[in-house]
Amino acid sequence: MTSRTVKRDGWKRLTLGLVAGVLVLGAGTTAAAFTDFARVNLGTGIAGSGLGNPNRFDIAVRDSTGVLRDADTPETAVVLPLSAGTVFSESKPVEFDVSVTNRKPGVNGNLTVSLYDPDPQSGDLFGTLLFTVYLDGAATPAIANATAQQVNQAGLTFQDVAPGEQRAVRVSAVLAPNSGAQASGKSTQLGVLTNGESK
Amino acid sequence: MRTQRRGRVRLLLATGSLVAAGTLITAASFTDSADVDVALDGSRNTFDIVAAGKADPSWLPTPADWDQANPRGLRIILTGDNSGYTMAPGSVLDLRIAAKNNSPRLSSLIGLRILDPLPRGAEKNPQTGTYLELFDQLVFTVSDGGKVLLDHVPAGQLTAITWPDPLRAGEYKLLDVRVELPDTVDNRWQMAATDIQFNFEAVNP
Repeated sequence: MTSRTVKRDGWKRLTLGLVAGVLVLGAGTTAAAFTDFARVNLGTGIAGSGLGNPNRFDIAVRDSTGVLRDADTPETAVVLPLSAGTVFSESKPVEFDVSVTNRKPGVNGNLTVSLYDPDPQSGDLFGTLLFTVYLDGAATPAIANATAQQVNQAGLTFQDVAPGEQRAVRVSAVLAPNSGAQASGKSTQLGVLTNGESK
Repeated sequence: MRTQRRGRVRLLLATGSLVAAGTLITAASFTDSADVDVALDGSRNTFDIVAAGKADPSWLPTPADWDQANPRGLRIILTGDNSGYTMAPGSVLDLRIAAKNNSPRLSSLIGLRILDPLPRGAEKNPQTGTYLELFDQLVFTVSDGGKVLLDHVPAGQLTAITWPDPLRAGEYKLLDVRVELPDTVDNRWQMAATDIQFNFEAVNP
């Protein structure tokens, strides 16, 4: 009896040993499963340059001598001579031409033209002016006989201006009817602000 | 009588042991074997994942498109002149990427991670003061045959995509990817750029 018991214990040990061995082998096999990977890159081949805007979006105004100026603060605004007229009147417009450029190389963008008064004063002449704005030399105005506020609300925009493209704005201003008497002896400046927004 | 009988018993027992010996000899005389050959054919258990992709939202992979993409990644050409793709605020890039289980027999579990191969953190251009890295500003949408897996997920919150069902030998997964730069990104990221890496990871289940 004793010897048989001992024999059984031996079998158990053997069986346990086998099971443990199989388990370990099994776990080992799973961990060593076949793996592979595939990488897809979006890029130009030069590290870190695939997507982005390598060129600055930068618009500029051409000054009277033909030089492009950033003019991105009121202090650096380009002062332009009048194209026509010398004094404000109710009938004879004062005109000036602005040329804005989306600098090259850059980013496509929309350029929105607005008018502002660079030197606001109380009872300013600016408020009594009526503006007619022509875009890109068009014969028909984009907006006619409108106050500065109405011009700005109209949102005159050059859509999708490509880098290197140059666009023209002609602003023509007259005094509102029957305001000539109040305008006597007053002066104002006219500002054209072009806001660029990249696309 | 008793003594004689006992002697016979002994003789019989002795003979018995002889018989037993004879049996042993018999057992040792006839031998046989049956071999079972299990052919472990390793020639068709290769495990191979290939990839393809194009910056075209209606592209379908052709046999010529598949590339090992490992260790050298497959590069998707983004523009006609092989320059960078302009990403200004509001820009969108639609593309398709695909991974194929090119193994002859084995199926594969597939996962996808979207990575920045060259993270530059908050590093700035010393001249302009603008950030160099654009990846962290991007927003990703990934869908698999109309099923959206990542829905406008900002780069910082990207998680790995895994598919529960294995890709069988010869099958491929075609994914629609949209990369967007939100309108809210401002001038601080002018002239910033990035690469994007789509990393398909495959394991044989």
